[in-house]
Amino acid sequence: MVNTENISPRLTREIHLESPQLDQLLFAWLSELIYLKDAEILLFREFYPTIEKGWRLSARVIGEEINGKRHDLRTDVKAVTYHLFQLTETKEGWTARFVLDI
Amino acid sequence: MKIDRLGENLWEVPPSEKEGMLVPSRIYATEKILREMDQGVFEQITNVACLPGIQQYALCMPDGHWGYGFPIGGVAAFSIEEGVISPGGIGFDINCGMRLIRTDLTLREVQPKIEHLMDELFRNIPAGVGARGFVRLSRQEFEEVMTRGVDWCIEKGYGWPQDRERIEEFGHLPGADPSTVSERATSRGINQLGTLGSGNHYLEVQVARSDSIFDKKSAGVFGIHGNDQILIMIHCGSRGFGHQIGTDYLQVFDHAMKRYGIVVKDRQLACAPFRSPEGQDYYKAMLCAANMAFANRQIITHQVRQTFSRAFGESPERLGLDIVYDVAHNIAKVERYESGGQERDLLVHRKGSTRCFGPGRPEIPEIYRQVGQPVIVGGSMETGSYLLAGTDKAMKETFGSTMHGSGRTMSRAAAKRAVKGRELKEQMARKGITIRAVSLSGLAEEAGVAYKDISEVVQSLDSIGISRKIVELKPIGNIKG
Repeated sequence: MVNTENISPRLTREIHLESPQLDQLLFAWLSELIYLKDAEILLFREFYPTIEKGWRLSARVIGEEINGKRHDLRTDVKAVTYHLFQLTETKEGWTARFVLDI
Repeated sequence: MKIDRLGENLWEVPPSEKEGMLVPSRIYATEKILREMDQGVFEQITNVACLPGIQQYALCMPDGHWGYGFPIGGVAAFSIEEGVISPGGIGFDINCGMRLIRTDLTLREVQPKIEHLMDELFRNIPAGVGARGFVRLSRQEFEEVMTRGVDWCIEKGYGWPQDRERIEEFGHLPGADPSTVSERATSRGINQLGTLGSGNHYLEVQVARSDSIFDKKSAGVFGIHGNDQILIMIHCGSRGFGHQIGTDYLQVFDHAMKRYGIVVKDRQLACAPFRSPEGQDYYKAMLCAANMAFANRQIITHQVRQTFSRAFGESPERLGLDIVYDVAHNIAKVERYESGGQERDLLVHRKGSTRCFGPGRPEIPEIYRQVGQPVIVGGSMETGSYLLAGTDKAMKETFGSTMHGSGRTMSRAAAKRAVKGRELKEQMARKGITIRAVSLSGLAEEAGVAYKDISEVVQSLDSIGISRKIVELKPIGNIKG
C-alpha cells in the first residue's frame, strides 16, 4: 500500500481482539488494520502485538494519517480473504499464508 | 477434468467429475477462450456446484477467471427454501457495477479540452487509498442512503427525477436493514460516498463512432447516435462499506456453518441457509451495501455533470448528460425462473456477471422495454468497452445473466513486471488516450495486456444470442485510483 519508511510515528492506537481460533484471530488482526485505514484514514509503520492463548491479541500500532503528498501510495488493500488461508506452527515459529483483496 | 461440448460456445463438467457435485457446471466460452482459462475456474465452478440448494447448474461466463470461492464470471441460483447465500458468490465489493452516461457532445468539441477536462474530473472525483468524499453525512443520513439509495441522492439535489428509472432496480433495493450492518462497516463507508476507489475501478470518457454501432435502432432507443458522440463510463462499487460487510459476514458464516451441518470445499465459500437468521441478516446488510453503491455512482454522476457543465459553459441538461443505464455485477437477488417444472423464486448470485433481461420484462424501464435491458461491459483501459442488450435466451439459459468485462489473464504482479506505469501512460497518450492515475504502479496493473480481448469475449455470447452487441465504445480519457 505504501512505503512504510515514509510514515511518521505521529500517533498510536491500541487494538484488542479475541477469537476462539488462532487463524481467525490472524484474520481479525489483518482486517482491523484495513478497517483503520478506511475509517480513520491511518497507515502504520510499527506493530507491537502480544498474543495470549484462548485467543486474545493486544497490540500497540504507531503511524499517522494518510497524506497523499508525503506518502507514496500504491495499491489499496480492501479485505483479507480465506482463499488459500493457512497458519502453521513450525520448528522456527509460525508460517502464515493469506491472500488480500486489492 | 472431463469437459463435454454441449453446443456452440457452451461446455459442461458433469457431476461425476467431482464428489459432492449436486448439479453440472457449465462454462460459456469459445474453444480458444476455454483453452486459455486458468485452472482455478474449473476447480472453483465445480466447488460451487456442491453448495446446498443449487438449481440446474453452476455457470461461468467467458470472462471467467479464478476468484475467492466463486470464480469471477460466476452465476449460481439457489432455492429460497433449501439453498444458501454465500458472500463468495457476490464478492467483497457488493454492487460493484457500471454506469454509462450519454452526452450531446462530440469528439471535435471535447478533444481540444481533454487535458483540462481530465484534470478537472480527477480533481472533483476522489480516488485511491485514503480518498474522502465531499458529501458529509450524519449516521442517520447514511442509514437513509442504505435503505433508499438513489432516492436519497435525488432528494438532496444529487440527481434528476428521471435518473431513477435508468438504474437497475430503480437505484434502490427494498428490504435493506441498517441494524444488520456493523459499526465498523458504517465507519468505513460514511466518508466514502462519491469516491471512485482503486484497483480496476475507473471513470472513462469514451467515444461512440458511427461505424461502431451494431444495431442503430436499439442504440437510438438507448440515446446513442454515433457520429463521434461522447459518453462517460463509471466502474465502482460500495467501497470499504461493502468490503467490511463481506468481511464481517464471512467471519459469521465461518463460525456458523458447523451448526447447519454445511461443509464447503473452499473456506471462501462460507455460507448459511438463506432462511437462517445469519443468512437473512447478511442478505439485508448486502442490500444496504448495494443501495450505497447505487448512491455512490449517483454522487459521482452529479460530480461528472458539474464538471462537464463548467468545462463547456452549458447546464448539464443542455449538454444532454442523461444516464443510459446502471448495472450491478456483484450481487444476489431474488428472481423468478422456471426450475424443476415450475416457476419459482430463486436467489441468483452474480459475481462478475451482469443481469441481462430480455425484451418485454417489467423490470426494464418502459423506454427500453422493446429492446431489452442495457448491459454495460467494461474492457481494459486500452481497448474499450461495450453496450449490449439482454435477450429472451438469457432468461431461459443463464438465469438472465451475461458477462461483466473482459476478465484478467495476468496477475497484478505479472502485469507490473511486463509494463511500467510511466511508459504505459505515455504510450496511451500517443494512442490518443489521456490518463490521470493516483498510482503509476496501479496503472501498470491495469494494462491491456493483463486482460482478455473484450471483443472476443463479447462475440462469444453475441453469436449464441445470450446478449446482443449494440455499440462499441472507445476510450479517450481515463481516471484510475
